[in-house]
Amino acid sequence: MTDFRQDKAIYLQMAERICDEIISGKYSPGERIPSVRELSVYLGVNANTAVRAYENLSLQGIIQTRRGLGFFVTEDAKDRILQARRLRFMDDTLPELFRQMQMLDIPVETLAEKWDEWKQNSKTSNGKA
Amino acid sequence: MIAIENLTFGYGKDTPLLSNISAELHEGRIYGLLGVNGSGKTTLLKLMSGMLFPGQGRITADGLDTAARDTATLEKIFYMQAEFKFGRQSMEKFIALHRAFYPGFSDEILGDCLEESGINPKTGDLGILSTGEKRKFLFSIALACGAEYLLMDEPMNGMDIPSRSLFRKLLLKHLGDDRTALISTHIPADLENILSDILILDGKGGMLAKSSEEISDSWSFGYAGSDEGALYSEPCAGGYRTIRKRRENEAGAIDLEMFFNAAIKGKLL
Repeated sequence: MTDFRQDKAIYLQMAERICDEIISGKYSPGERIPSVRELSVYLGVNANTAVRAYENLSLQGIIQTRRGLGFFVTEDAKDRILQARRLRFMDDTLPELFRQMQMLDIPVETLAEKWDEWKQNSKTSNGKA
Repeated sequence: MIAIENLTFGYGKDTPLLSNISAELHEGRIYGLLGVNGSGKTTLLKLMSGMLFPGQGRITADGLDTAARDTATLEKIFYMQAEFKFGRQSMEKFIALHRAFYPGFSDEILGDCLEESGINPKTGDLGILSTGEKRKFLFSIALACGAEYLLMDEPMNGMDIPSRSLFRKLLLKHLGDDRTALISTHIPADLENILSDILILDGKGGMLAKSSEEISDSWSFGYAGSDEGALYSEPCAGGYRTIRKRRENEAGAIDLEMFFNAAIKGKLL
């Protein structure tokens, strides 16, 4: 049962989508994001689900509501998103990686070599572009 | 609110089709009505709209029995039937009839829906429209009429793929927080993300009613290499599609088709 995989709840997917758009700079700090109804129609998702997504983002301090005006990106939204994603990497992604490494008998030194190799490659491809 | 209270109904002396079912339909929510063939979906919609009368129990819209068929109740309800014939009549005449009956009729919403659906509002004979176009037209009337309760019996039948996503978009755009929709379907994937609540007729007279929140709080839907520990599973190319009691911290997405199959087989307990 350890291999059970599920898609994220739709409201969490919607929250992630807004976070991606904040990271990419589509929405800047202090900028208004779409209303619940606009987002619901645009993505074809129930308005209650969009409300849940925005509640989730508000709780994380990524957006805030201004009465009668809508939802706005907070000043430190980007930092908060990156911090939350770092935590998730440590709590979820790394343990899963370690589990795989153990099962496939891959020593951590190999990982370090691959890491150096990858950085070298991304540097050269960035240089070309 | 529409309230179904201890409703029992059957045709003739056979075992009742619907047996002692209860549910409440609240404002601003979109209900999906699912059930195998012959489980009573259309019958339930007819009972709700006042076209059939309960054997026992009652159905009320804002406190008034729909079976009494008062004008004040009927103008709150729009029932879009699965089978309908327009006969030979012009679109303008059909619209005028509905505009006269429903006090909240909105020409603005109708215009938007017809334009998005690519339907000519000057159509002289409704009989020339295709099956899908007829449904898109009637759906436009449903949204425009302003009735608080939209009861739709397989409204997406005959609609092409782009029209199905247009259906969802227009419903979300024009339904509003003060109205309620109940949509019966055999293709849950069409409606999965727009439904806030699910009603399942189990084919044995009973009905299961759950909100999407309750479903994702109680069950996890996903894939696994083994069906061990699953309440219900179906083999798939990569292993098994499974439903299990929710253990995960994070809520997962709902697989409505799996939920339906598990529900009618009594596997959700």
